[in-house]
Amino acid sequence: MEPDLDPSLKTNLELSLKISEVQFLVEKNQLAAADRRLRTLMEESAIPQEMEKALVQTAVALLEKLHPAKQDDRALDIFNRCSRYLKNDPRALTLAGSIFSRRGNIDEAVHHLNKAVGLAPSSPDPYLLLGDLFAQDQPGKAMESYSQYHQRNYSVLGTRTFLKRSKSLLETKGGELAFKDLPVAVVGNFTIEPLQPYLEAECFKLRVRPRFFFGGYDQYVQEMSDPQSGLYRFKPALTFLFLDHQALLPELFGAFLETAPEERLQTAQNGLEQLRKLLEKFMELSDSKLVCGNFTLPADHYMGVFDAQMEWGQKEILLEMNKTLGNFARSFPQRLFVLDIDKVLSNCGKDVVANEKMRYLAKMTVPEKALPGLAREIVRYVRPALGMTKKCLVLDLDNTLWGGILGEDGLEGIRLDLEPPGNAFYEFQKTIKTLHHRGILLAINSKNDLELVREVFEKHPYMQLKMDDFACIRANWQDKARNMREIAQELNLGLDSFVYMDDNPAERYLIQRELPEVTTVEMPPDFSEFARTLLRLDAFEVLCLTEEDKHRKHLYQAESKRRELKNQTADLQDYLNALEIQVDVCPADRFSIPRIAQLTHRTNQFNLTTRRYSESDIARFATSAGHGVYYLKTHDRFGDHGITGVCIARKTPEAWEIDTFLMSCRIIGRGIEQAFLHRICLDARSGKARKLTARYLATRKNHIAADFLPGMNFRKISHNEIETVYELDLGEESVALPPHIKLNANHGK
Amino acid sequence: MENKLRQILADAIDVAPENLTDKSSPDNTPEWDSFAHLNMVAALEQEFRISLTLDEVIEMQNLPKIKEVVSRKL
Repeated sequence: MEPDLDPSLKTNLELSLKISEVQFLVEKNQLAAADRRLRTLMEESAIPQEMEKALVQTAVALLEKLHPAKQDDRALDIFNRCSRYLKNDPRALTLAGSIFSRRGNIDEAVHHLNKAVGLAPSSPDPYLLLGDLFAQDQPGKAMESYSQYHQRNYSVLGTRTFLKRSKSLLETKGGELAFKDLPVAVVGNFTIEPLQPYLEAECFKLRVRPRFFFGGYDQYVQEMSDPQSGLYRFKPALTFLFLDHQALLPELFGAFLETAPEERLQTAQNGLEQLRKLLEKFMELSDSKLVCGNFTLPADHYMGVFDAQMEWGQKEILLEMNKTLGNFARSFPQRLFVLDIDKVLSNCGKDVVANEKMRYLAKMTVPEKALPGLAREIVRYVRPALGMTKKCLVLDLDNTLWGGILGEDGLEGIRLDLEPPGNAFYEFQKTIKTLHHRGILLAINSKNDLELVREVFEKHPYMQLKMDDFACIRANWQDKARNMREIAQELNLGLDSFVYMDDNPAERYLIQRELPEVTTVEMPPDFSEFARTLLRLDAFEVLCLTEEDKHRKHLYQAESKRRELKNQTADLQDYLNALEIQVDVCPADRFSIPRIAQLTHRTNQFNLTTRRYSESDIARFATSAGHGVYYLKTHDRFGDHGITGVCIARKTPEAWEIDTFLMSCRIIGRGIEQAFLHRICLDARSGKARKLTARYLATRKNHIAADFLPGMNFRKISHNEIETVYELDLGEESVALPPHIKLNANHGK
Repeated sequence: MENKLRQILADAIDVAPENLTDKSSPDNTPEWDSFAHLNMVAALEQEFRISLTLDEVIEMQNLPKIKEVVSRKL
């Protein structure tokens, strides 16, 4: 040992040599010896702060080896002896959690794992272990933990682990998890099968269980043109078509510079015309929605930088082809959609994900590394196709809509303007505003004084959002979970319709724990990422904008005026009279079919049978003589509610049977549902039916509709676990029109 | 390392690791089709943080070969 060394350095040198010894033994798998030396080391010496990191690393390395060897006693002993140093190390906590769970000590396991999650939010393993802990008794929570795991580990093996765990959970607890089924087909002209695990994983995270049909390699033309093909026999609800332009048009891209510019354009147009015919065929033969990937712009050009100058160069041709695809989609509204695969690859970075060897070996045009991104883009279509689009964005205020804390910094002190850092919040508000314009409701859930908040809305020159933009504002000092429940009640929406954004992790955690149905957004620690985080959310995706979507914000403003009137009127009947409600019941037509289909997907509460129908289903019913499809429109002195009710009746000469009867929740309780049924009875009677039958199929959400039929004088005729069947003898009974409602005359078919 | 390789191959072709021998190859293992092979390559590249060349991918037709190629890269 160096004799002239500073004594404190000398101690550290000795200690560091001892730690190295332990490390060496761990590496050589001499675990018992390593344990002994670590023990002596801890007993003999005090560990100065600068040596702690090395000690922790060594101890964790030892735990890592003891864990798979199942030397749990020894591992726990080390964890406890070194707890001063290890209790804040996420890896050590994870290993301890795993050992506790192996021993069946659930509480300790959850405690240690939660602590690990808190210390290292981006590490996947604690979530996997938490999932396993919950799998037995709380499948919902287990699924959520597994999803968090996969969110943090998109690798091939991570995806495989996630799928294995979720599948075994689905097998044993599928009933409680209530996944939606979805038949998905994927066809194209290059190898895309490796997408399957990623896509399956993304669907699982959305609580959707997909069944897959992957078309044969480059078989899409046969698959799509032969009515007997595997594709059509599979009966997909959602079909994806991915095309590589080089394989689609070899005569063009294989001899690009050998052909004249005009000729290049002509060849591209001819190729797309063939494609259009194929798409048309598909629309005829299937009622699946079809999502077609666009063409990827090349990362490199045959003509180098001159490509941008030349007439009908590579990029210009491909842009033109993509534009044509967009036109196709507009000519098949609600049936054909374009998926921007070029955007997916650009966002991944074409150079970063490029894998030339797989392109040659396996014709994988979309490289493996881009597949998770492609799967995430695909589920942005799955969600709206299954009617799982969220309806309302709930926002915190301080450090979310503006920088700083209003109560402390005051109106002038909060950060919100055109200069950094206030411009990040300004931009975030603008992004929220765009959501609002496409029909997403906004609400506030904040710990604040309402009066101060009002002042900001009215006086702050850079506020982009106005008080009127919010359907509901809760700025008070009660806990946020309670506020959230009240917001849901006031807007008459299920908790699963809400997305919550709050910069404060503790508040997010509270909502996550108390109200797991609410989608709580993982907010980035840096507010400059807020706007982008909102844009990247897939929760609000739609495949069409109905008139109702565009006007929804006015509907809710009228609603708050109604509430005011109700608070002023003491008697319910006076209030109903004062509303001056008018109701129109009309047979479905071309314009109302999209909305009717949308309502069958979105209405969960006042819905007797919760049967979901596609637009083509509704169109088929509407033209069949055996069915009547009605929609209900209503308005009152405060405004128009638009189309808010649907009834589908199956007609036989004897009786009419109500297949579907649903109403949007926000108009329930004003006698409108009775007026609707009154009108159906009138039509059934004039159709010479003697009876009207109807059934109630209970779900977890539609209990508010349970007493509707008996309340309308329907007689219960049978009852089992699944359904209760009712009938109304039209000869003897009728459903009266409530006196405060005016039913406008409309003629059914 | 040998065990890890065996596990990765087993996962990729979906057979039990103990059913794989040094003699197992795409010719005598029906599950080891071209798709499974690509799966294995992707997993190997990620797990060992290596990049395999087109030639190497074609060369890796049994466990000893896989081990040889991966070791060379580490």
